[in-house]
Amino acid sequence: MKALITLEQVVKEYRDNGVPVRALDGIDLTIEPGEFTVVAGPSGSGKSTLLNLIGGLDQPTRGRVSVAGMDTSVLSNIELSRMRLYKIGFVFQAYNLIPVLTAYENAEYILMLQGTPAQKRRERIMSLLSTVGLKGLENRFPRELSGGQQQRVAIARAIASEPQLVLADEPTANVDSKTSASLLDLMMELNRDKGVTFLFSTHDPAVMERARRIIRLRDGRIVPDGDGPGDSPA
Amino acid sequence: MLIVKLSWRSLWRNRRRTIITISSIALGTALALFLISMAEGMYNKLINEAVRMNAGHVTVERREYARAPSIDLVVPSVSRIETIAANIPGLETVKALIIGQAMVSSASGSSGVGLAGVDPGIEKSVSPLARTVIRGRYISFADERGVMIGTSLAERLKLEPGMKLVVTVNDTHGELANEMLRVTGIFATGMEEADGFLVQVPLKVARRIFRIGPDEATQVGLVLSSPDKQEQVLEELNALLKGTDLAALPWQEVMPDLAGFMAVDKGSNYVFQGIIIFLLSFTILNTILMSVLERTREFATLLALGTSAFLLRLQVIIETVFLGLLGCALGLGLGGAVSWYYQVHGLDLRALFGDNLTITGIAVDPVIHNYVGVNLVLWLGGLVFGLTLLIGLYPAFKSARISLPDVLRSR
Ligand SMILES: Nc1ncnc2c1ncn2[C@@H]1O[C@H](COP(=O)(O)OP(=O)(O)O)[C@@H](O)[C@H]1O
Ligand SMILES: [Mg+2]
Repeated sequence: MKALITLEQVVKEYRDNGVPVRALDGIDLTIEPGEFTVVAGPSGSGKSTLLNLIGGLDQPTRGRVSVAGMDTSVLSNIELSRMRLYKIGFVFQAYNLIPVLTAYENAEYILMLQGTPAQKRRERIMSLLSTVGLKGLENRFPRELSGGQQQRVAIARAIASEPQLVLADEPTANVDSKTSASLLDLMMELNRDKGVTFLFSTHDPAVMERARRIIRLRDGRIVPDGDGPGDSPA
Repeated sequence: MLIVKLSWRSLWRNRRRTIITISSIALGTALALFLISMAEGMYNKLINEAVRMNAGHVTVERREYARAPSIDLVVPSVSRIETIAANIPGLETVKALIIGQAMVSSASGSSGVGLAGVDPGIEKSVSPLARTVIRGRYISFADERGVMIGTSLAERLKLEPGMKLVVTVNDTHGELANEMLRVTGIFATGMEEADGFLVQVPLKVARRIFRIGPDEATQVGLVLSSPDKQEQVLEELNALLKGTDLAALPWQEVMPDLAGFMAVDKGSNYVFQGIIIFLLSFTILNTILMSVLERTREFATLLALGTSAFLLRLQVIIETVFLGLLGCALGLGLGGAVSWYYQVHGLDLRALFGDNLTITGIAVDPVIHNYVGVNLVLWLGGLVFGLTLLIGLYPAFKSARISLPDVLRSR
């Protein structure tokens, strides 16, 4: 099977008050369709930067990032936007729901943009919201939902259009461990049942334990398996 | 639909700010509408009185007359013009005038004046001057020697109704001619040009003094029931007068001073309204910009999810459209209602200007009636709405100029 994501010698440098900061330092990475991968690492290790590059939200300083066979560096902003709309689902750490839309409408948003017919949208969102455990809360606005519930809406929104890839940047960081576990259950279940490829980041050891594949980052580099002290593979 | 929903709800997220913005748009629009309609009402009144006192909305005269008015440049057949004009829709009345220079003398002195021969019957019904008689009465058709004089001329020459005066003119044959006339009445228009330097006599008296034929006059004025018809009447008349040495002129050419004043006055009004609208624009720009800047995070999310920059900008523009539409509708409603009230009941400015309000020497009733035309409402509404849209462009443009990783990463 052809790889869904390939990174070759990817370097990302930021300038912080003129001082170059190397957020990613020569990353090589391949992710196959259907994988459930966790990017693990302490804060500042480059997790968000990595996911942003893959999601086409940012461009690498050097190296190549390709997603679904497309080199993101050659895509225009409009093409990147379309790639995000049609191929990728996003879940962010901060809830990032649209505050003026209800849970239902938030989940429906991507399908609306894609022009999915109303009837089909309705069926899919209703069943999806009950899958993520939000039955009966469809008409609540984000501020009327708990952090975990908001993240469930965000997950529903991310997978509603059945994208090839879901990028989730520390989706469990702002919820308690119980909620975190159930969100993880949900994502793993969606990965298993619907074959959605998940790539998500965390610095929570409890979450890392359950991952099938872990990519460990430290100071912008991938740590080879079993290298780090205390990073014993699950 | 999605985007309209997003725009509408986003607008009402900051209810207070939205209400303030809509109110300022509404108030600015209402104020502009009120002031413009008041000026329009004033102009209409001014024009109305001026054309009735003088030579009509449209004046038929000899082609050379406008450049060098002279008593021997006459319209040869007033009755023919009357016949032609009778078929013109929107005609209120036709008034023949004979205007010439004269000298009037009494026992106490003499003065140069403008001598106007008028049809007393018509004048009484259309001219505001005939309604300002303060002593004696207005001349009538039967008065063979009657003359109307203004109050300041009467003062200078110490004349009262019933007293005699002598009029001296250069007649059409180039001879000096004298006539003894008797003051029928004294008028007080409030305008010095008229009260001090105009005398009116019945047409036939003017014809006799100047030795002008019975069907001749220097000007034939057409008073229209509605000034909107002026263009059309001019066109028709000029078509009919083609090939003759007569021409039909708009009042603007016959009374260039008044037209000039109105142009200047309109100009200064525009400047004032421009300032209102300019200030208004800043309020609107400020609000929209603020509401865009405080939503960068939300916009970043929308963009990250795959919303196109175009759609995001459209959302901001639609918010502006809502602001503009609501503000405009409210403002036009409010301003329209107030203006309409004063259109019907009149706005009494006597407290401000006293009883005699004159503009370029023309007496104006100090009770102003606004004039709210459909054109004005549409024009102003379009302007404010268009402006709101225009102002929304920059914030809209700005809304999608976000560095996604920076915004999404800051928590
Ligand atoms: N826009 C930026 N400007 C400057 N430095 C940045 C920027 N984004 C990330 N960095 C730096 O890059 C490194 C990796 O950041 P990040 O990818 O956010 O790590 P993580 O998500 O693992 O916490 C950090 O040192 C961070 O300070
Ligand atoms: Mg991060």
